[in-house]
Amino acid sequence: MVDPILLIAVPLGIAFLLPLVDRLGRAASRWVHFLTLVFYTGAAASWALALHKGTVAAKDIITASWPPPVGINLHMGLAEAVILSLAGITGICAALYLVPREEKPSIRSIVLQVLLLAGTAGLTLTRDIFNMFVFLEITSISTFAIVLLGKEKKALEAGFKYMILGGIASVLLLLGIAFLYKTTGTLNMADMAAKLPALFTGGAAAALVFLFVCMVIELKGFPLNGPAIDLYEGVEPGVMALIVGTTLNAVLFAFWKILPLFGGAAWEGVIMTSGMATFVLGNLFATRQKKVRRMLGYSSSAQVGLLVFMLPLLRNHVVTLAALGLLLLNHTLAKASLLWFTGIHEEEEIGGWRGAFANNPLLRILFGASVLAIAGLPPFPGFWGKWYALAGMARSPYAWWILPLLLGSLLEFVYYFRWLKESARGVEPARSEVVPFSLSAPPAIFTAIGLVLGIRALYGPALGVSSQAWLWMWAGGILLAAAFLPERVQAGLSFLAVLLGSILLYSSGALALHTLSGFFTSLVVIGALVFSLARLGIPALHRNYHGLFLLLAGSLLIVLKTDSLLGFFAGWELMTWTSYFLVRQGKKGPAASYLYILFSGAAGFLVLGGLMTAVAGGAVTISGLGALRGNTALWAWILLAAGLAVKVGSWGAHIWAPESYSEAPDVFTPFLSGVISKIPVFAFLAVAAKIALPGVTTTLGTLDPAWVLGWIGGLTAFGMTLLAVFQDDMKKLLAYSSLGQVGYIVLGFAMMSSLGWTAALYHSLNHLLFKGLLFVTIAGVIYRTGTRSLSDLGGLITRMPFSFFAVLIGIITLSGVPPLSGFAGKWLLYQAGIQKGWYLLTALAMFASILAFPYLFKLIHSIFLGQLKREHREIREAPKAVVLSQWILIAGIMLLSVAPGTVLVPIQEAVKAFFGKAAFTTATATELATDLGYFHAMGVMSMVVVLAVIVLAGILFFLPKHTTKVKQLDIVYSGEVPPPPEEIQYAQNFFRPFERAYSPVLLPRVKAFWKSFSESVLSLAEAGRRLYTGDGQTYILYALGVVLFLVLFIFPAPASSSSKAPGGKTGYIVPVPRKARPAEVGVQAPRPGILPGGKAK
Amino acid sequence: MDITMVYIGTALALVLVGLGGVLLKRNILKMVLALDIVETGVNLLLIGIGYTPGREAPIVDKTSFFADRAKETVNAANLVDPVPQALVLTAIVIGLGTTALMLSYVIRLYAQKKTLDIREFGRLKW
Amino acid sequence: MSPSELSLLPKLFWVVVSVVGAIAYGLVIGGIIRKVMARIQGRIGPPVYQPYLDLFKVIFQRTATWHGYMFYLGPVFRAAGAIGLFLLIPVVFGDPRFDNFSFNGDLLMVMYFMFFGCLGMALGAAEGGHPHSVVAITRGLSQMTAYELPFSLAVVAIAAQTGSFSVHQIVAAQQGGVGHWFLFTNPLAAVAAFLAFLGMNMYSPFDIVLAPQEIPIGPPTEYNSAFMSAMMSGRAIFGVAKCVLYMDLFLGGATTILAAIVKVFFIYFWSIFVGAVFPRFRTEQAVRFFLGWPTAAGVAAVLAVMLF
Repeated sequence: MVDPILLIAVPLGIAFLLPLVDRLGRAASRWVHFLTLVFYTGAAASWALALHKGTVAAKDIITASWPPPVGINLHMGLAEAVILSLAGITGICAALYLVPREEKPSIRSIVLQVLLLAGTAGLTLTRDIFNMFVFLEITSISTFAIVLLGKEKKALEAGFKYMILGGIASVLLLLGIAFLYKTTGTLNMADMAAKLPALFTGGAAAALVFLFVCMVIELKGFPLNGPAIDLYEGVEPGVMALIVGTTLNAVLFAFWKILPLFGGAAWEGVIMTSGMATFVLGNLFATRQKKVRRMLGYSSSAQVGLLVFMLPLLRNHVVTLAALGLLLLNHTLAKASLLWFTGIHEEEEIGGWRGAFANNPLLRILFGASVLAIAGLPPFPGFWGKWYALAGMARSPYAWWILPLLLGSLLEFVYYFRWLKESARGVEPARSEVVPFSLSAPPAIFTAIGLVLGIRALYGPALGVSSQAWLWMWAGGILLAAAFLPERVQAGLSFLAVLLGSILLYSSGALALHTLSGFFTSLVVIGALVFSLARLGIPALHRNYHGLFLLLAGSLLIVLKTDSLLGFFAGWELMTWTSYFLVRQGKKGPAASYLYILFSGAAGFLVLGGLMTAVAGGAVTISGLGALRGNTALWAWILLAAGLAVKVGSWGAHIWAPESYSEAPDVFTPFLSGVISKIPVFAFLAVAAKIALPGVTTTLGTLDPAWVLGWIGGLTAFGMTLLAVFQDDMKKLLAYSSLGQVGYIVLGFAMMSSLGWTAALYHSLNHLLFKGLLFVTIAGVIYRTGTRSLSDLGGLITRMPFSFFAVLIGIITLSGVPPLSGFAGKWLLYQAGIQKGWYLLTALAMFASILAFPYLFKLIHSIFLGQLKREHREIREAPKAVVLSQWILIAGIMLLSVAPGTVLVPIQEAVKAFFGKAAFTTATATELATDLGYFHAMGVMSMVVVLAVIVLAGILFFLPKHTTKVKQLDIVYSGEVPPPPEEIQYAQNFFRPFERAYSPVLLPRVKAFWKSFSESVLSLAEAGRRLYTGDGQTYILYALGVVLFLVLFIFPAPASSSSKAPGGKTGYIVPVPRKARPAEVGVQAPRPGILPGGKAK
Repeated sequence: MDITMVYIGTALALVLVGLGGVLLKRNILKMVLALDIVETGVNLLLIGIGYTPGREAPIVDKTSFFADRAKETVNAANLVDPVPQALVLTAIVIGLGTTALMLSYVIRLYAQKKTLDIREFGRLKW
Repeated sequence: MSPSELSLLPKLFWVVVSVVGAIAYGLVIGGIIRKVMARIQGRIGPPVYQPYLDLFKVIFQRTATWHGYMFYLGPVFRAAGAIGLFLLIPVVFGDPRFDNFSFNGDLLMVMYFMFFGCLGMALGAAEGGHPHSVVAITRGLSQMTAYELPFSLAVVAIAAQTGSFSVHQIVAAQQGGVGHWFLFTNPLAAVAAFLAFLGMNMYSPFDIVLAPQEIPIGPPTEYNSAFMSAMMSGRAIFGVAKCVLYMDLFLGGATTILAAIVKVFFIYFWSIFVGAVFPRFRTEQAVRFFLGWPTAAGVAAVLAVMLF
């Protein structure tokens, strides 16, 4: 093992030698630079690996042969090794990145970079507080010297402001050190921490305030982060990436090292509050930010705030070092990558990012991946870090802090995904950007590191990710990498992969209908197979489509199969982002997918909140949820149900769905509507329902939360159906329809009875079949005609008869009219409602189902009936693959129509496992009966067929042999013929009277609500960020203000701080043996009157 | 009132004067100087903290160190705490570094905008 | 589930008899309506057997035009739907001869089967390409969705009260005297349902749906000859079927054919008499009407069942 002190000594020495080496030529000094970095990285990484494996023990290094309390000692542990490895890699990448970006490459920049690494190593390793001060100054001086060398003019201004504030910080640090030294007589951190509590006096308390404020300034805490954020905006991003990867982590670690000095509950509260405020407010202000780099600045400040927030938790063993390490690693990797990207695409304003990296697929993927990573989505390390941290918090008295944490995380979604939205392919031709290797390599390296670590985590055996799921995901990954292949080839490969994967799933018995997981896996397989087949006829719009699709299918398999809460949530979030990218590929996809990801993100956080409540109750697995009791069970259920309700687009949170469904690629919408909307349903049935739900006692009696959910489902069914009637965009019409149909499913679930669940499950399958059929057929129509607007179409029955038939079957099934399979679903649901005693809700559902007729008629009429448009006279039938997939779905519907029992009998088995009661009194393939009613599917079907044949035969018998085909315009208009003959199609203002009748309930209240909601959040952010006036002196005033505030109000006298501690609010602190709480010490010593504004005499 | 208080009081005064300068002066050059005054004040404070009235400077000269070992121990007890003085030395060096760097910023800033008014350098905000 | 006591062939025989009888009765009612309306309006009116004449006339007419498959399938759907609906409802309680095929499905099946014919008609008429047919259809659909709300509420109330969706059981629950009819045991549900019936039957004031026929364009103009006959007989049996359903739901069903005939007649003429004295509603007025008092009555009926 390399002696850790060399990590400081070597770069320091090289830094001073480099000007000499430079005499041999710039190449020589570059090589020396590179070798130094390699040595540094290698040494640190070998320590990290060895410490991780446990082959060596953490090492203390004693300098100048004086043992610690007197001499300066260094410490090399796992955390140090990881931070330094990261610094080394960042150093290499930054060197690579900065070379082509410097106007006049000078040796000074190289020297300073090496010096910065030396400072980082010192700052990380040292255990002497004054030594820490020295290294802090070394890194700071080298940093600002590098900034001074840069070509960015704004950098000077930012750098100067930061230096002034940094000067105040170092004065505070020095003051703090001085007082602490006076109190304890030592400079060694451990020694100081051991002696401090026993000597806790006013002077020491003030010293801690100084130390803390210094750390807040250095770690960009609110409200002292103004100049630091300016730096992000002004300074060359390559340099900022270097700082993020080196100094920032080292300073954070330094804070960790001096944290034992801050004993007591009051300090813990101050540090955590400060960190959390920085996190939430930083993210809030970032939402209003139009300048990309400044946005990253706010984000960095916020992320570091989160880490600061967690430091006391780490000390109390609430959060593990691994969790914090993953978060830190993730932030470094992702933030540095993003900073590098802002250097490659040098547009200051977010609006200028349209079409960024358009002709560089690799960079596009890397950019997307970096955003995913920073947003904390799987498989990137941040996801795992956040989960483990939250899980730790959930089990501790700090659980309430999860709330602001999730809120801040959601705000992150707001601005990062807005960036992705803005950077989507634009209308204007994309600029041709030639990106040299040395610029694209650093983000590639960093993303790869994150990805490798993350995928390894996903392979964890506890997560229960099945090998089948991996197969699909790896196929997707490979296809994503092979995006250069022609679209046709990709579509074929993807179809083959789906086919193979489905066969494997089938042969492994994963499709058994009589288990919930098997049932929903079957839905996924049916959807994937049929829609992949249809896609063979309709090319995807974007190269990455096929790979992402397989990834998505794989993530669904994770959700459906795993028993681990973490595995479930990982699959859930994977599903969220893969489907997000697929939605984004539509023509107007970027805007729609932005809404999609915001609501999906919110749903995800609600689900996460629910899972965390479960974790707080001691659950680790899904099957363990049943052990939850009381309020824990109630809240876990409510949060989960709320998240799932948002995700299925329930009324009130539905506004994202019509946009996403309609703007997603036409070949993807069927999957979105047919399969993905069922995954929350699965989660309802398989996860939420595991929780033994207690009633809520209110003044009016016991309230069943499931009843509330039932009403949400019923209102969704009603409201969405009503809105569907007025849509002119056929995909939007079907989208609203989908939401309404899923409302029925939610209603069925909420009944929590065997009949209700049977209805929900049956309808899930049926909805997949008929809505898939409708969406696929519509996709064919759009593919041929190029329009989604119903009023542009008409009379296509003659041109696309197969499609017409498919839509006909689809709408009859949807409407629930016998003899097709839709009826069984309604039949089950209403009986379940009556059985449950939810009479009004049942009537509402009936009414909603009948409200579907108008839009179904509108759909089929406007497209296929009436008069054919001139421009559509030569339209051909949809591609063969589409027609084939239509027929497959029709066959499925027919099977269910004649013999619903083939599916309902296994469903009955699946449901029986939950309620112990069979849904039916009689259940054969073709005949069903419950306590309430009966239904003979085969009988009705044969009756209808026989009657139709008889009537048809009669008519044909009377029909003459010779008839004339009536031309399109040969119709009667009360004896008049409109001159000139023209197509007349009733398509505008369809259902106008209907609209008038319902006008009171049709006001767009929900949209207005969300609009004003988002506006008020943004105006809050706007008001808040005015805090950063840009005036250097204001910032100094803030710093002094914070010092005064802390001294006057939070720590006015030891007595009051001690009075807080026993209160029990944060009494969770695991007592560190050699550290006593101020309460226990209870020193009432008068503070010396030397503090600024300290005690009034 | 002992002499330590004088040190500390003076130091405090310097710090306050410096802070006042940083906050009140619009000229960035003066701000840099004011910051330097603050640092000086803090350095003085450090020394003041280490000073014990009636003791000698911690300078070990030949006579005291090599002449008589027994006497040397007595001497050491009579010396003031050497650590703050060492710290101050380091702090002064570092302060020099930062001040130099800040001054070079001032030069570059002046070259850029031809002004030294801090209010002119508020383009990065919000 | 009520097992049929007859074997297949006798069953088919009685089914044919019922269907023919229902069509015949429906046509007679149609004739009576025209007579009654004429007398109210001070005309002599056509003879009661006029619908028979019309039917036989159109059966033997021949069309010479061809509009496309869906156009001609429309009346087929319509007629098959109407006959199917009739066949799903037991006519005479306890008499297996007039039980029809009611073992195929319960009240929910009947409710949804009603739409089968409408759907076919709508599609067929729309393929004709005449914009006015579509206007009529949109009006019809708007009105239909509205009156289904009070009707659904009434059905839910009755099903909840009976504890079953089986029409047999609902009829059985009303046996034992007039006082047991749901008309009297659940008057609120009856009010809701009978107001909905006005819309269902599409006589004045809810006949704007049929207005385009008067101009005279729309489905009956486009459909002629044998298709017209299918529509006419479909309409006749559809009207009877609805009345039989109401009879089973509210008037205690019927134990004899005669009782069935009388009850159907009175139910049918409830809408005629109302229509004779009320002017026509616009579509949105009709929709709002149904969403108003009839719905309130329905909600009250359901609440009553829940509370008592």
